Amino acid sequence: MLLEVNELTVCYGTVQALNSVSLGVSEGEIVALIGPNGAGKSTALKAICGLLKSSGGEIISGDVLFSGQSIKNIPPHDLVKKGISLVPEGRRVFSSMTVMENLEMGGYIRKNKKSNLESLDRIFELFHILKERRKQKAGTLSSGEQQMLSIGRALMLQPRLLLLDEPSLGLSPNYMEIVFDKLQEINRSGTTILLVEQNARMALEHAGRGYVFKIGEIFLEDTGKNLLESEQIRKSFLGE
Amino acid sequence: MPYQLLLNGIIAGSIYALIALGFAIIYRTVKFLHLAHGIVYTTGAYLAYTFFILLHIHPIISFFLSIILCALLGIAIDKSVYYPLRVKKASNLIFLLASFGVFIFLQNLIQLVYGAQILTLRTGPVKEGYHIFSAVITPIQIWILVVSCWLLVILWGFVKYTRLGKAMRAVSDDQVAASVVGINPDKTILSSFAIGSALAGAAGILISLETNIEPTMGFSAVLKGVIASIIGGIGSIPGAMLGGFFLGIAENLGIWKIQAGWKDCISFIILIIFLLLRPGGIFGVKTEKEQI
Repeated sequence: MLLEVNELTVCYGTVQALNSVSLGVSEGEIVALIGPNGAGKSTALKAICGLLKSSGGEIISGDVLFSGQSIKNIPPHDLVKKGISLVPEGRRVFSSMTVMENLEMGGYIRKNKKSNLESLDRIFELFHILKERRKQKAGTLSSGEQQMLSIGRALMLQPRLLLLDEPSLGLSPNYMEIVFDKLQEINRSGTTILLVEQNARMALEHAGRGYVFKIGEIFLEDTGKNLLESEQIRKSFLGE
Repeated sequence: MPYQLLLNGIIAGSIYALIALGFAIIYRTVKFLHLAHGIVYTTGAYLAYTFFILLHIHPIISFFLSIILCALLGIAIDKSVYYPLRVKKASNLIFLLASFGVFIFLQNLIQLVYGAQILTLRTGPVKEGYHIFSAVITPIQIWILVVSCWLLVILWGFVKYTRLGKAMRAVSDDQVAASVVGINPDKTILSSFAIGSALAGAAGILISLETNIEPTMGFSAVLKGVIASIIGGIGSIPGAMLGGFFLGIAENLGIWKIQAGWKDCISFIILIIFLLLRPGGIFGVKTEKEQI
């Protein structure tokens, strides 16, 4: 297992958000965490990537392992060094900086400028539009383009595990499709992906496996295909 | 055209620009009004006095020593006061009050050590100035202009092109995103305090070459810095510089027609006009999301 979450319990103050949640992601997979609002899927991702503290949450018990090592409570700026990159919810590009500077910031911790150039080539190949707009301020991009930039920024360090929080949020259906197709392409070139997604259908169509969250617990786990076909899921999440 | 007033305005403006720039660099990363910036300015002047007058150290060495100590003071203020508040997620009002507390504490400390009387860094008689058009500029004033403009250019380049400068811009844009790419926000905030405070210190030293120093000098200085920063667009680097010069020139040209006693009033009138008509400042910084 590349990433293992063992019996994780998380509280925001006195409110319990996750109750003994366990999940795992193997090397090379795309795994989606789905479920209704407030079910705990975003909390789980925040607990993994170290952003829990800044949103006022706390891990009460359990552990998070990345290739065997505990990464519980490691702040996000140290986590990138271990090979985990995050595409945060709402894209969060550096809006006053240019596209090029945003990507440079993605490679901030790397001293070797040459690997940065290699990453840059790969990202421009993946997202042509970023190359065209490299001198433009990131704040002037459309939300779809910003999402690509945010993903590109996270790919600068060629992470082993790419985490995405609600990648389809605020995107047009057209861009949603593009973003998810690109995620599959990124995955095929060797990056493991774990994503949290409101749009269950989109996520399950593209993910190998999915976990379904309900009130702070995982209540179903299966392949994306099986979940899409499951009667329970169709009724409760896909609105059929 | 009253060239002398214009020249005085440019010189005062260059000092304001330094204070405003330091203030803006800090404001961008922490997003609250660091009023204690003013006391760092006072400290700069008193340190220069200590090294140069009391300890007879070479003026240039005194200048750099004082600036370094001011940077350390900025770091110390953040570490001892703001950092614990940040951990506790204090509101901006608490930060403002804490900042004010630091200001008053240090101002009184300075008064305790050096006394409340005015001091001067001047050692000899005032040298005769050079004539430009109908204005007179003294060698000291030329120094003030050269050093402050040089610092402004260096800082502008630093923020725009260096790795740390870019990290500071990234933190100012989005702290979460910055930490996600591996920038340690606390370290970046410390750097901005060090650099901003060094600038405040430099401004304090430069002004003390021209006028007397006293423990209370920092308050009006930080107000001018804040006003200059707001005029330029709060948190904007070029805005702070431009706002500083604008304020200095406006104040000094103002007393061409109005009595000199109204000089300070002019800045506040300009502030009110800007807040009413163009709250985003010259560079139109959006401020809806930020609260002071």
